[in-house]
Amino acid sequence: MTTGQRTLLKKDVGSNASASTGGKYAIFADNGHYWTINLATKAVTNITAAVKTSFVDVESDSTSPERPMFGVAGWTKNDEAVVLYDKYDAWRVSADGSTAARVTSCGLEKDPVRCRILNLAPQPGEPLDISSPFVTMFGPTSKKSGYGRSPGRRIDHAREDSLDG
Amino acid sequence: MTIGNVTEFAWQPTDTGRLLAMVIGADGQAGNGVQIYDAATSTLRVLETAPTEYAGLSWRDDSQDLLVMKSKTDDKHDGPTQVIDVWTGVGTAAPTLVTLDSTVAGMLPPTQRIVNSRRAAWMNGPAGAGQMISVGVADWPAKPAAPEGGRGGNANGRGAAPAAAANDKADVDVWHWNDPIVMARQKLSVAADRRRSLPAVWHVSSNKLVVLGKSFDENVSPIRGTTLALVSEFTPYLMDRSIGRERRTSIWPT
Repeated sequence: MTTGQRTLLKKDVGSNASASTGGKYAIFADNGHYWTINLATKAVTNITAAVKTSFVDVESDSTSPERPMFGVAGWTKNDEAVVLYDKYDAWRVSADGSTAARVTSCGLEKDPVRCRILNLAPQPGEPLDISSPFVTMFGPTSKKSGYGRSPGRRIDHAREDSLDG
Repeated sequence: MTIGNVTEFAWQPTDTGRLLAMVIGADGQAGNGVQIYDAATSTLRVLETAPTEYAGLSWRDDSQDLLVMKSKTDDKHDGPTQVIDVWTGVGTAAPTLVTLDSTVAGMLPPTQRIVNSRRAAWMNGPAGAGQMISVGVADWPAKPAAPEGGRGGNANGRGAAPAAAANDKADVDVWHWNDPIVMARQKLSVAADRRRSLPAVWHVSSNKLVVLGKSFDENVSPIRGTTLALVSEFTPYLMDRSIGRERRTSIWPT
Protein backbone atom coordinates (compact mmCIF):
# COMPACT_ATOMS: atom_id res chain seq x y z
CA MET A 1 0.00 0.00 0.00
CA THR A 2 3.03 2.26 -0.14
CA THR A 3 3.45 2.33 -3.89
CA GLY A 4 0.26 0.91 -5.39
CA GLN A 5 2.30 -1.47 -7.51
CA ARG A 6 0.97 -4.97 -8.03
CA THR A 7 2.51 -8.38 -8.36
CA LEU A 8 0.63 -11.29 -9.86
CA LEU A 9 0.26 -14.17 -7.45
CA LYS A 10 -2.12 -16.57 -9.22
CA LYS A 11 -4.29 -16.30 -12.27
CA ASP A 12 -7.62 -17.91 -12.97
CA VAL A 13 -8.72 -19.11 -9.56
CA GLY A 14 -12.13 -20.07 -8.28
CA SER A 15 -12.82 -17.64 -5.45
CA ASN A 16 -11.77 -14.43 -3.84
CA ALA A 17 -8.68 -14.72 -1.72
CA SER A 18 -8.56 -13.80 1.94
CA ALA A 19 -5.55 -13.13 4.09
CA SER A 20 -4.58 -15.07 7.19
CA THR A 21 -4.88 -13.41 10.58
CA GLY A 22 -1.15 -12.88 10.84
CA GLY A 23 -0.79 -11.72 7.27
CA LYS A 24 1.58 -14.49 6.20
CA TYR A 25 -0.74 -16.34 3.84
CA ALA A 26 -3.60 -15.88 1.44
CA ILE A 27 -6.13 -18.65 0.96
CA PHE A 28 -8.49 -19.37 -1.90
CA ALA A 29 -10.59 -22.22 -3.22
CA ASP A 30 -10.23 -23.77 -6.64
CA ASN A 31 -11.32 -27.05 -8.18
CA GLY A 32 -12.72 -28.37 -4.93
CA HIS A 33 -9.63 -27.72 -2.86
CA TYR A 34 -8.18 -25.02 -0.68
CA TRP A 35 -4.89 -23.48 -1.66
CA THR A 36 -2.59 -21.20 0.31
CA ILE A 37 -0.14 -18.67 -1.02
CA ASN A 38 2.88 -17.91 1.13
CA LEU A 39 3.06 -14.14 0.68
CA ALA A 40 6.79 -14.10 1.39
CA THR A 41 7.84 -16.85 -1.01
CA LYS A 42 4.80 -16.72 -3.36
CA ALA A 43 4.60 -20.52 -3.05
CA VAL A 44 1.15 -21.87 -3.94
CA THR A 45 0.15 -25.07 -2.15
CA ASN A 46 -2.89 -27.32 -2.33
CA ILE A 47 -3.39 -27.92 1.38
CA THR A 48 -6.38 -30.27 1.19
CA ALA A 49 -5.20 -32.73 -1.45
CA ALA A 50 -4.30 -35.35 1.16
CA VAL A 51 -7.13 -34.72 3.61
CA LYS A 52 -9.60 -37.62 3.80
CA THR A 53 -12.76 -35.58 3.48
CA SER A 54 -14.45 -33.18 1.09
CA PHE A 55 -14.73 -29.47 1.77
CA VAL A 56 -17.10 -29.00 -1.15
CA ASP A 57 -20.84 -28.56 -0.72
CA VAL A 58 -21.89 -30.96 -3.48
CA GLU A 59 -25.54 -30.66 -2.46
CA SER A 60 -25.65 -26.94 -3.22
CA ASP A 61 -28.12 -25.92 -5.91
CA SER A 62 -25.79 -23.21 -7.19
CA THR A 63 -25.76 -23.01 -10.99
CA SER A 64 -22.03 -22.53 -11.09
CA PRO A 65 -20.02 -25.55 -12.27
CA GLU A 66 -17.64 -24.82 -9.41
CA ARG A 67 -19.39 -26.11 -6.30
CA PRO A 68 -19.24 -23.80 -3.27
CA MET A 69 -17.03 -24.68 -0.34
CA PHE A 70 -18.28 -25.11 3.23
CA GLY A 71 -16.04 -22.28 4.33
CA VAL A 72 -13.10 -21.16 6.40
CA ALA A 73 -13.56 -20.77 10.16
CA GLY A 74 -10.33 -18.85 10.72
CA TRP A 75 -6.64 -19.14 11.40
CA THR A 76 -4.83 -20.31 14.51
CA LYS A 77 -2.11 -18.41 16.35
CA ASN A 78 0.90 -17.34 14.27
CA ASP A 79 -0.82 -18.57 11.10
CA GLU A 80 0.24 -22.12 11.89
CA ALA A 81 -2.96 -23.63 10.55
CA VAL A 82 -6.25 -22.76 8.98
CA VAL A 83 -9.54 -24.21 10.25
CA LEU A 84 -11.77 -25.47 7.43
CA TYR A 85 -15.25 -26.92 7.39
CA ASP A 86 -16.46 -30.08 5.73
CA LYS A 87 -20.12 -31.07 5.81
CA TYR A 88 -20.19 -31.77 9.54
CA ASP A 89 -16.87 -30.91 11.11
CA ALA A 90 -14.08 -28.41 11.48
CA TRP A 91 -10.59 -29.47 10.46
CA ARG A 92 -7.26 -28.00 11.45
CA VAL A 93 -5.07 -28.01 8.35
CA SER A 94 -1.52 -26.68 8.54
CA ALA A 95 -0.71 -23.73 6.32
CA ASP A 96 1.59 -25.85 4.17
CA GLY A 97 -0.81 -28.80 4.01
CA SER A 98 1.55 -31.15 5.80
CA THR A 99 -0.87 -32.08 8.60
CA ALA A 100 -4.63 -32.22 9.05
CA ALA A 101 -6.79 -33.25 11.98
CA ARG A 102 -10.39 -32.97 13.07
CA VAL A 103 -11.22 -30.23 15.56
CA THR A 104 -14.71 -31.64 16.07
CA SER A 105 -16.04 -35.13 15.48
CA CYS A 106 -19.70 -34.41 14.91
CA GLY A 107 -19.70 -36.25 11.58
CA LEU A 108 -18.46 -39.47 13.15
CA GLU A 109 -21.49 -39.92 15.34
CA LYS A 110 -24.32 -42.31 14.54
CA ASP A 111 -26.65 -39.45 13.75
CA PRO A 112 -24.29 -36.81 12.34
CA VAL A 113 -24.65 -33.23 13.48
CA ARG A 114 -23.27 -30.18 11.71
CA CYS A 115 -20.89 -28.32 14.04
CA ARG A 116 -19.54 -24.87 13.41
CA ILE A 117 -17.08 -23.06 15.66
CA LEU A 118 -18.21 -20.03 17.62
CA ASN A 119 -15.49 -17.46 17.36
CA LEU A 120 -15.47 -15.74 20.73
CA ALA A 121 -12.44 -13.57 20.07
CA PRO A 122 -13.08 -10.15 21.58
CA GLN A 123 -11.70 -8.29 18.58
CA PRO A 124 -12.07 -9.03 14.87
CA GLY A 125 -8.95 -10.28 13.22
CA GLU A 126 -7.70 -12.23 16.22
CA PRO A 127 -6.59 -15.85 15.82
CA LEU A 128 -9.01 -18.68 16.46
CA ASP A 129 -8.66 -20.62 19.71
CA ILE A 130 -9.51 -24.26 18.93
CA SER A 131 -8.20 -25.85 22.11
CA SER A 132 -11.72 -26.40 23.40
CA PRO A 133 -14.06 -24.46 21.18
CA PHE A 134 -17.72 -23.78 21.63
CA VAL A 135 -19.72 -24.86 18.62
CA THR A 136 -23.13 -24.31 17.14
CA MET A 137 -24.84 -27.60 16.30
CA PHE A 138 -27.51 -28.47 13.79
CA GLY A 139 -29.04 -31.84 13.04
CA PRO A 140 -29.78 -32.03 9.30
CA THR A 141 -32.28 -34.83 9.95
CA SER A 142 -33.84 -33.72 13.23
CA LYS A 143 -33.69 -30.01 12.31
CA LYS A 144 -32.83 -29.34 15.93
CA SER A 145 -30.13 -26.91 16.85
CA GLY A 146 -28.12 -25.98 19.89
CA TYR A 147 -24.71 -25.24 21.34
CA GLY A 148 -21.97 -27.51 22.54
CA ARG A 149 -18.30 -27.72 23.35
CA SER A 150 -15.76 -29.90 21.69
CA PRO A 151 -12.93 -31.12 23.90
CA GLY A 152 -11.06 -33.46 21.64
CA ARG A 153 -13.27 -35.91 19.82
CA ARG A 154 -16.38 -35.66 21.96
CA ILE A 155 -19.15 -33.13 22.11
CA ASP A 156 -20.25 -32.24 25.63
CA HIS A 157 -23.56 -30.82 26.68
CA ALA A 158 -26.55 -29.53 24.82
CA ARG A 159 -26.24 -31.90 21.92
CA GLU A 160 -29.19 -31.17 19.68
CA ASP A 161 -30.93 -29.27 22.44
CA SER A 162 -33.56 -27.31 20.67
CA LEU A 163 -33.34 -23.58 21.00
CA ASP A 164 -36.82 -23.00 19.79
CA GLY A 165 -38.53 -25.54 21.95
CA MET B 1 -24.97 20.26 30.40
CA THR B 2 -26.90 20.38 27.15
CA ILE B 3 -25.21 20.50 23.78
CA GLY B 4 -27.35 21.23 20.76
CA ASN B 5 -27.08 20.53 17.03
CA VAL B 6 -25.00 17.40 17.55
CA THR B 7 -25.14 15.37 14.32
CA GLU B 8 -22.61 12.73 15.31
CA PHE B 9 -20.62 11.75 18.38
CA ALA B 10 -17.99 9.18 19.37
CA TRP B 11 -16.43 8.27 22.71
CA GLN B 12 -12.70 7.74 22.93
CA PRO B 13 -12.38 3.93 22.61
CA THR B 14 -10.00 3.18 25.45
CA ASP B 15 -10.57 1.64 28.86
CA THR B 16 -9.88 4.98 30.47
CA GLY B 17 -11.37 7.04 27.66
CA ARG B 18 -12.91 10.25 28.92
CA LEU B 19 -13.21 12.28 25.73
CA LEU B 20 -16.40 12.63 23.74
CA ALA B 21 -15.99 14.00 20.22
CA MET B 22 -19.01 15.67 18.65
CA VAL B 23 -19.83 17.05 15.24
CA ILE B 24 -21.95 20.18 15.39
CA GLY B 25 -24.12 20.80 12.36
CA ALA B 26 -26.48 23.75 12.33
CA ASP B 27 -28.75 25.30 9.74
CA GLY B 28 -26.77 27.70 7.61
CA GLN B 29 -23.55 26.03 8.75
CA ALA B 30 -22.92 28.77 11.31
CA GLY B 31 -21.14 27.22 14.26
CA ASN B 32 -20.42 23.95 12.49
CA GLY B 33 -17.35 22.15 13.72
CA VAL B 34 -15.90 19.55 16.03
CA GLN B 35 -16.14 19.87 19.80
CA ILE B 36 -14.59 17.79 22.56
CA TYR B 37 -16.21 17.16 25.92
CA ASP B 38 -13.88 15.99 28.67
CA ALA B 39 -15.95 13.93 31.07
CA ALA B 40 -13.23 13.98 33.73
CA THR B 41 -13.14 17.75 34.03
CA SER B 42 -16.58 18.45 32.59
CA THR B 43 -15.12 20.92 30.13
CA LEU B 44 -16.12 21.56 26.55
CA ARG B 45 -13.83 22.98 23.93
CA VAL B 46 -13.95 23.64 20.23
CA LEU B 47 -11.42 21.67 18.27
CA GLU B 48 -12.26 23.33 14.96
CA THR B 49 -15.06 25.37 13.52
CA ALA B 50 -15.79 26.30 9.91
CA PRO B 51 -18.88 26.88 7.75
CA THR B 52 -18.86 23.44 6.15
CA GLU B 53 -20.25 19.93 6.69
CA TYR B 54 -18.37 17.64 9.07
CA ALA B 55 -18.89 13.88 9.31
CA GLY B 56 -17.17 10.55 9.91
CA LEU B 57 -15.69 10.97 13.39
CA SER B 58 -13.29 8.16 14.16
CA TRP B 59 -10.91 7.64 17.09
CA ARG B 60 -7.80 5.55 16.64
CA ASP B 61 -7.80 2.55 18.98
CA ASP B 62 -6.10 3.08 22.33
CA SER B 63 -5.13 6.64 21.57
CA GLN B 64 -6.14 10.28 21.72
CA ASP B 65 -6.03 10.56 17.93
CA LEU B 66 -9.15 11.60 16.07
CA LEU B 67 -10.10 12.05 12.44
CA VAL B 68 -13.05 13.70 10.76
CA MET B 69 -14.08 14.39 7.17
CA LYS B 70 -15.23 17.83 6.08
CA SER B 71 -16.69 18.95 2.79
CA LYS B 72 -14.96 21.34 0.45
CA THR B 73 -16.48 22.78 -2.71
CA ASP B 74 -15.25 24.95 -5.52
CA ASP B 75 -16.89 26.74 -8.43
CA LYS B 76 -15.59 24.33 -11.08
CA HIS B 77 -16.81 20.99 -9.81
CA ASP B 78 -20.17 19.43 -9.12
CA GLY B 79 -20.49 18.43 -5.49
CA PRO B 80 -17.92 18.49 -2.71
CA THR B 81 -14.66 16.71 -2.13
CA GLN B 82 -13.63 15.72 1.38
CA VAL B 83 -10.77 17.08 3.43
CA ILE B 84 -9.51 14.79 6.20
CA ASP B 85 -8.51 16.38 9.50
CA VAL B 86 -6.41 14.29 11.86
CA TRP B 87 -5.64 15.43 15.41
CA THR B 88 -3.12 13.69 17.59
CA GLY B 89 -3.11 14.21 21.34
CA VAL B 90 -6.66 15.53 21.48
CA GLY B 91 -6.68 15.26 25.27
CA THR B 92 -3.55 17.35 25.65
CA ALA B 93 -3.28 21.12 25.88
CA ALA B 94 -1.97 21.41 22.33
CA PRO B 95 -3.33 18.81 19.92
CA THR B 96 -1.52 18.56 16.59
CA LEU B 97 -3.55 18.87 13.40
CA VAL B 98 -2.58 17.25 10.09
CA THR B 99 -4.81 17.72 7.07
CA LEU B 100 -5.25 15.81 3.84
CA ASP B 101 -6.48 18.20 1.18
CA SER B 102 -6.03 16.52 -2.15
CA THR B 103 -6.90 19.69 -4.07
CA VAL B 104 -4.20 21.84 -2.53
CA ALA B 105 -1.41 19.35 -2.58
CA GLY B 106 -2.20 18.09 -6.08
CA MET B 107 -2.29 14.54 -4.81
CA LEU B 108 -5.12 13.68 -7.14
CA PRO B 109 -5.92 14.78 -10.67
CA PRO B 110 -8.43 17.67 -10.74
CA THR B 111 -11.03 15.25 -12.10
CA GLN B 112 -10.92 13.12 -8.93
CA ARG B 113 -11.99 13.70 -5.36
CA ILE B 114 -12.20 12.04 -1.97
CA VAL B 115 -15.78 10.97 -1.33
CA ASN B 116 -17.86 10.75 1.82
CA SER B 117 -19.62 7.56 0.73
CA ARG B 118 -16.59 5.63 2.03
CA ARG B 119 -15.78 6.74 5.57
CA ALA B 120 -12.17 7.51 6.32
CA ALA B 121 -10.83 4.85 8.67
CA TRP B 122 -7.69 4.14 10.65
CA MET B 123 -5.76 1.15 9.36
CA ASN B 124 -3.81 -1.49 11.28
CA GLY B 125 -0.38 -1.25 9.71
CA PRO B 126 2.86 -2.71 11.03
CA ALA B 127 4.67 -1.03 13.88
CA GLY B 128 6.96 1.66 12.59
CA ALA B 129 5.12 2.13 9.32
CA GLY B 130 3.40 5.29 10.48
CA GLN B 131 -0.28 5.98 10.57
CA MET B 132 -2.33 4.97 7.54
CA ILE B 133 -5.88 6.06 6.84
CA SER B 134 -8.13 4.54 4.20
CA VAL B 135 -10.31 6.79 2.06
CA GLY B 136 -12.34 6.47 -1.14
CA VAL B 137 -11.52 8.20 -4.42
CA ALA B 138 -13.95 8.76 -7.28
CA ASP B 139 -14.47 10.98 -10.28
CA TRP B 140 -15.23 14.62 -9.62
CA PRO B 141 -17.40 15.82 -12.51
CA ALA B 142 -17.26 19.38 -13.72
CA LYS B 143 -20.16 21.61 -12.87
CA PRO B 144 -22.75 21.40 -15.65
CA ALA B 145 -23.14 24.48 -17.77
CA ALA B 146 -26.27 26.53 -17.16
CA PRO B 147 -28.98 25.65 -19.70
CA GLU B 148 -29.41 28.14 -22.52
CA GLY B 149 -32.84 29.53 -23.26
CA GLY B 150 -34.92 27.82 -25.92
CA ARG B 151 -33.43 24.35 -25.68
CA GLY B 152 -34.01 21.62 -23.17
CA GLY B 153 -35.66 21.96 -19.79
CA ASN B 154 -34.59 22.90 -16.34
CA ALA B 155 -35.71 22.45 -12.80
CA ASN B 156 -38.14 25.31 -13.04
CA GLY B 157 -39.81 23.84 -16.06
CA ARG B 158 -38.91 26.79 -18.23
CA GLY B 159 -38.19 25.68 -21.77
CA ALA B 160 -39.41 22.17 -21.05
CA ALA B 161 -41.38 20.33 -23.69
CA PRO B 162 -45.10 20.12 -23.11
CA ALA B 163 -46.13 17.09 -21.07
CA ALA B 164 -48.19 15.65 -23.89
CA ALA B 165 -45.19 15.66 -26.23
CA ALA B 166 -43.05 13.95 -23.59
CA ASN B 167 -45.60 11.18 -23.27
CA ASP B 168 -45.34 10.53 -27.00
CA LYS B 169 -41.65 9.74 -26.81
CA ALA B 170 -40.74 6.09 -26.99
CA ASP B 171 -38.32 4.58 -24.51
CA VAL B 172 -35.42 2.92 -26.23
CA ASP B 173 -32.89 0.92 -24.27
CA VAL B 174 -29.80 -0.11 -26.16
CA TRP B 175 -27.90 -3.01 -24.65
CA HIS B 176 -24.79 -4.30 -26.34
CA TRP B 177 -24.50 -8.06 -26.25
CA ASN B 178 -20.95 -7.72 -25.02
CA ASP B 179 -22.07 -5.71 -22.00
CA PRO B 180 -21.68 -8.08 -19.04
CA ILE B 181 -24.33 -6.31 -16.98
CA VAL B 182 -27.85 -6.59 -18.32
CA MET B 183 -29.91 -3.44 -18.70
CA ALA B 184 -32.36 -4.20 -15.91
CA ARG B 185 -29.57 -4.61 -13.39
CA GLN B 186 -27.85 -1.45 -14.60
CA LYS B 187 -31.05 0.49 -13.94
CA LEU B 188 -31.38 -0.96 -10.48
CA SER B 189 -27.82 -0.20 -9.51
CA VAL B 190 -27.60 3.37 -10.81
CA ALA B 191 -27.72 4.93 -7.36
CA ALA B 192 -25.19 2.47 -5.92
CA ASP B 193 -22.91 2.92 -8.92
CA ARG B 194 -22.82 6.66 -8.31
CA ARG B 195 -21.52 6.03 -4.80
CA ARG B 196 -18.73 3.71 -5.94
CA SER B 197 -15.19 4.70 -5.11
CA LEU B 198 -11.71 3.30 -5.39
CA PRO B 199 -9.92 2.51 -2.12
CA ALA B 200 -6.91 4.66 -1.34
CA VAL B 201 -4.50 4.99 1.56
CA TRP B 202 -3.23 8.23 3.05
CA HIS B 203 0.18 7.87 4.71
CA VAL B 204 -0.09 10.58 7.31
CA SER B 205 3.58 11.07 8.21
CA SER B 206 4.70 11.39 4.59
CA ASN B 207 1.44 13.02 3.44
CA LYS B 208 1.30 10.62 0.52
CA LEU B 209 -1.92 9.36 -1.01
CA VAL B 210 -1.78 6.00 -2.79
CA VAL B 211 -4.81 4.90 -4.79
CA LEU B 212 -5.00 1.11 -4.49
CA GLY B 213 -7.99 0.41 -6.71
CA LYS B 214 -7.77 0.43 -10.47
CA SER B 215 -11.30 -0.57 -11.38
CA PHE B 216 -14.64 -1.24 -9.76
CA ASP B 217 -14.46 -4.88 -10.86
CA GLU B 218 -12.12 -6.00 -8.12
CA ASN B 219 -11.98 -6.48 -4.37
CA VAL B 220 -9.17 -4.83 -2.44
CA SER B 221 -8.57 -6.13 1.09
CA PRO B 222 -5.79 -4.64 3.22
CA ILE B 223 -3.90 -7.24 5.23
CA ARG B 224 -3.76 -6.44 8.94
CA GLY B 225 -0.34 -5.69 10.33
CA THR B 226 1.27 -5.29 6.93
CA THR B 227 1.53 -2.71 4.19
CA LEU B 228 0.09 -5.19 1.71
CA ALA B 229 -3.39 -5.64 0.34
CA LEU B 230 -4.92 -8.55 -1.53
CA VAL B 231 -6.67 -7.74 -4.78
CA SER B 232 -9.09 -10.16 -6.38
CA GLU B 233 -9.62 -8.89 -9.87
CA PHE B 234 -12.30 -10.32 -12.12
CA THR B 235 -12.46 -8.05 -15.17
CA PRO B 236 -11.59 -10.86 -17.62
CA TYR B 237 -14.40 -13.01 -16.23
CA LEU B 238 -17.29 -10.56 -16.11
CA MET B 239 -19.34 -12.30 -18.78
CA ASP B 240 -19.03 -15.67 -17.05
CA ARG B 241 -20.03 -14.10 -13.76
CA SER B 242 -23.04 -12.40 -15.35
CA ILE B 243 -24.63 -15.75 -16.11
CA GLY B 244 -23.82 -17.34 -12.78
CA ARG B 245 -20.95 -19.37 -14.10
CA GLU B 246 -17.51 -19.79 -12.66
CA ARG B 247 -16.10 -16.86 -10.82
CA ARG B 248 -12.44 -16.68 -11.59
CA THR B 249 -10.16 -14.11 -10.08
CA SER B 250 -6.58 -13.07 -10.15
CA ILE B 251 -4.80 -12.23 -6.94
CA TRP B 252 -2.31 -9.49 -6.49
CA PRO B 253 -0.59 -7.90 -3.54
CA THR B 254 -0.18 -4.19 -3.66
